[in-house]
Amino acid sequence: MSKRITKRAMTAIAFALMHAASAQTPSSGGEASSTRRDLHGMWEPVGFHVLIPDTPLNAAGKAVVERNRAAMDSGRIMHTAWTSCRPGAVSSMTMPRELIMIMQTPDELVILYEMPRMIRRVQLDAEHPEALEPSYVGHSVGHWEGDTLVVDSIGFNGYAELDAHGQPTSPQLRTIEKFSKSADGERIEIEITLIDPEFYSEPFTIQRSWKRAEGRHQHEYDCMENPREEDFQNAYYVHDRYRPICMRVQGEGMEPSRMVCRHEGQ
Amino acid sequence: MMGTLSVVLLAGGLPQASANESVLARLVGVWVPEPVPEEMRTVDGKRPPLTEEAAAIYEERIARRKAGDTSFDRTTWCAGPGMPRIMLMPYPFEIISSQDRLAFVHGWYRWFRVVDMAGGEPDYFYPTTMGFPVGHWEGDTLVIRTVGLTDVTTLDAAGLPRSDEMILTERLRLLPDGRLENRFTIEDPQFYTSAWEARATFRRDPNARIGDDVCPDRIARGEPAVEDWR
Repeated sequence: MSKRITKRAMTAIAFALMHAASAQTPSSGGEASSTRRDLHGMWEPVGFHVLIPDTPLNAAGKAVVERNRAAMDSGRIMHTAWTSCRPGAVSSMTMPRELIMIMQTPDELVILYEMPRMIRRVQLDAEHPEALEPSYVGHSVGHWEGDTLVVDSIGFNGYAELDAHGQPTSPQLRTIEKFSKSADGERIEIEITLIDPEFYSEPFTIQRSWKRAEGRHQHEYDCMENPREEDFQNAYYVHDRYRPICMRVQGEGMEPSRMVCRHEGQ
Repeated sequence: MMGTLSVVLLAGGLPQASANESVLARLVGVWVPEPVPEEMRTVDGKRPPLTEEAAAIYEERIARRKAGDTSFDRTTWCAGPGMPRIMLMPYPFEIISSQDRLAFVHGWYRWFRVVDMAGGEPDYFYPTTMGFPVGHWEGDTLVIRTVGLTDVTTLDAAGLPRSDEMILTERLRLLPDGRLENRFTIEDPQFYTSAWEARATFRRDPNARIGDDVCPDRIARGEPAVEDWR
C-alpha cells in the first residue's frame, strides 16, 4: 500500500512542479506578519459554487461525467458522497458552504465545517507519513511561505466529487491550497490546485474566498437525521458505496414508519 | 498572620487568565472516557429524579430496548447523539484551544462543538443536538453552560428523556491523579422534579487518536453504530 501511494505521490509531485514552473507566481515572501498568519476565527464562503467549468478531464474523467449526465438526463437523481453523508474534504474546497471555523495552534490548523459536517486537520511543518490509510478527508500538511499558508493534501480515497456534475476524483488526488489573508483581515483568498492524473490530463487551479463571519454561530448539519425511503427513489449512485445504509421505511397500513439499516451484501 | 494574609491577597489578585493557562495546557489533547452505566445515574448512584410522565417514557424505552427495539435512539442510524451523551459514549475526544474558543472534537462520526470562552450570549434560531455552549473559569474549574439543546436526543443509551428546555452545566476539572472529571448538572423542570448531577471521568491514552469516523460505513461493514462499553 505505502509503495503504491509513494509512487502516486511522486507522479503528483512531478505534475505539481511542472505546474509551478509554468503558471505560478512566486510566493509572497517578505516579512511574515503574525496578524496575517492568524487564520483563527469564523469564516463564511463568498459565493455559491456548484459547478467547476473547463476542467481538463481526460478520457476516463469524461466517461464518468458523461455517464452521470446521461443518468440525470433520463430524470434520475444523482447521489454523490456529499448527499450520502460521506463528504470528502475536496468537495468542501471546491463547493464550500455555510460557516467554517478555524482553530489554530502553533502546530496545527483545525478546520471545522458546518455543512457538510467535517473536520480537517492540517499539521504544520510536518510530512505525510509513508503509509496512509486512504480516507475521505485525506492527510494534510502545511507550511508558511511568507504570509501564505500552503496546504498539501494526499491520501484521499477517491470517493468524492468536485461538483454537481459529479466530476470524479481518484485515490491519486493531490490538492495544494494556498491560503492568504487580506491586509484588512476580512477575507481569506484560497487558490486551490487539483492534481489527479487518473481523471484529469493536467493540474488545474480554482479560486475561492472566505469572508470573516465573527460573532455568528455555526449550526448543525445532521445529515443522517431522517433519510426517507422516497429520497432514494429514482436514484442514480455515482458509486455503489453511496447507496443508503439507513432509511426510514413507510409502514404498511396502520404500522408506523421505521428506520431500517442494511449491511453490505444485503 | 500578616504573611498569610498577604499571600491570600496576592493569590486573589492574580489575573484569572494566567492562572488558567496552566490548567488549560493540561486540559487540551485527547481524552478517553472511562466506562459509565448504560442507564445514567446521579453522582449518588441513583436514578435521576424523573417526573411521573418522564419515568413512564423511560420505562417503556428500557422495555423496548430489551426486546431489541431501539427506534427511540437516533444514534442507531448514525444521527447525532447530542450533549451530554456523546461524552458518555466509548469514543475519545480531543480538546483544542485557540484564542477565545475551546473545541471538543469527538471520535464518533465527525461531531464537534465549539465553546465560546469570550462570554457571549448564545443566540440561535432553533435548538440543536450539541446546543450553544458558553464557558468560563471558576478557579481551576472550567464551567460550560449549554442551552438550545433539542429534545430529539436521549441522555443515555437506555433512552433517558429530556425536553428542549434543558439547561446543561458542565464542570470540568483535573483530578489529582491526572484524570479529567466532568460533572454534569441537568436542569429540566419539564422532565425532572429537581436539578440533578451526573459524573464522568476521562483518562489519557497516548495511543488514542481522533480519526475520520464515518458511521454509515461502519454500519455497512456490519459493525454497530455505537460500540458497547467493553
